[in-house]
Amino acid sequence: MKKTLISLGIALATMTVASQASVSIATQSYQEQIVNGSTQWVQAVKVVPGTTILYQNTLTNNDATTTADNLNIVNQIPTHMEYLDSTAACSVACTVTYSVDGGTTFDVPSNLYVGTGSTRRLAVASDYTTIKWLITTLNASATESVQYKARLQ
Amino acid sequence: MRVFIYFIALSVFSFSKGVSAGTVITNVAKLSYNISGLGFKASSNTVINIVDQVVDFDIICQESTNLLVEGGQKAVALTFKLTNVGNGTDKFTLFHETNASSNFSVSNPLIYIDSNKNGIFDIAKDKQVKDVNLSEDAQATLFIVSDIPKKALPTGSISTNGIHAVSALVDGLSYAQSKNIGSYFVVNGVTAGMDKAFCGYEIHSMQLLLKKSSTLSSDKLFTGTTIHYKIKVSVLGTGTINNVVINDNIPKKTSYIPNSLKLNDKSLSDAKHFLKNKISVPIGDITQTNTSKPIYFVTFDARVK
Repeated sequence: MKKTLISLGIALATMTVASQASVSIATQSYQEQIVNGSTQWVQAVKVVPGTTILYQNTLTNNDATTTADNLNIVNQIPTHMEYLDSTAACSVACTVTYSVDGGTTFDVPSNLYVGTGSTRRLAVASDYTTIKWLITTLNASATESVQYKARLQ
Repeated sequence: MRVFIYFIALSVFSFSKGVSAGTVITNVAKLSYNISGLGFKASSNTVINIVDQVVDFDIICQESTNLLVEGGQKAVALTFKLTNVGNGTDKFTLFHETNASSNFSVSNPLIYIDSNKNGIFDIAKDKQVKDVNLSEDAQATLFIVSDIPKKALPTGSISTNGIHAVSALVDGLSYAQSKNIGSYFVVNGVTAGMDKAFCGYEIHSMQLLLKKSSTLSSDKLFTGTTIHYKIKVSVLGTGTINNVVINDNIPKKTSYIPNSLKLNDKSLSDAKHFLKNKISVPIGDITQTNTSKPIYFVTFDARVK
């Protein structure tokens, strides 16, 4: 019995739980609009080719007592959108990496290449397929956000 | 005119391609994290944006210069090209317009579409139209076909005629407005949803131009010097001049050198073309168009007596 309980405890410790998450994530899109003479980001409604859209992912730790750590947010850049260079950001300290292979691997821009043989070159922002932000900790009841901008082709 | 103005921003640019109107753009983010050593996952909502339609089009005169015409000509075509440079299908209503600075007005102006897409107006094949449907990036060649008045007009008189195209989708909205069409918006990228272009008819009566020149077989004229005469025959204006015959007397104190008469380097018979000290070279009808400009050279030699 004791051995069984210990085994079960170990199994629970290593199991990734897909439900009962205390951190939620919500995404929203914004576009620039002139409001009372000044440029503001408002919820995106009318998007036409060439529009820059700001995507913001908000993380909320719904647990009032527990800190979450090692938060990885992965966002595939939507089809027909081109990532705008150096626009990935976080509301707290974070590490940002990118993928050019659909999210299989991630690295910093200086290590990202596309093409093979004579056509191999350093990737540019429009080559990026996916963005990953890594936030170390999210305190209990805290809210933070990550964002990026992309242009509609 | 290709001016695209955002509904919501002050950027101004033009484009001929872009993501098609109605395309659905989705964004979703995935989260993984740990709590007390346990791993968790979460997924965001899916945010959806639908690509709106930008109405933008160009209409351009295809004539490089004014089209030379003569009084009384019928069904003369000016060529235009209409291009939908927006990102969705639109219908364009077409109107004929004359520029107020024109020296004369044409009669019976009608708009035709190049139905067989050969770039040339053919009244038997091309259809008269009042509007045209174009999908994104599609083009249509259009013609204004008019009659030129018979009355005498000075050479150089110009009638400027144009096509005024109006987007049916935009329907008179100002560029700052847009309207909801089904699941997405139509944004007006062209001022007042319209554009226009003009081409010109220019009166030019046909003229036969003759230019005579000569070269010598020696530095100066001496007895026995051969003078090589060249008469350049060309036409000014478009149309046909009928039954052109070049006649020229052999100059005094010279004698015609037998068998020297040629038309475009082809020898002509003295028996038929040299009589009573005069050459006579029939060229026939000369037809000149904007793309075909024939030139003839009549040459003969004479010797100084």
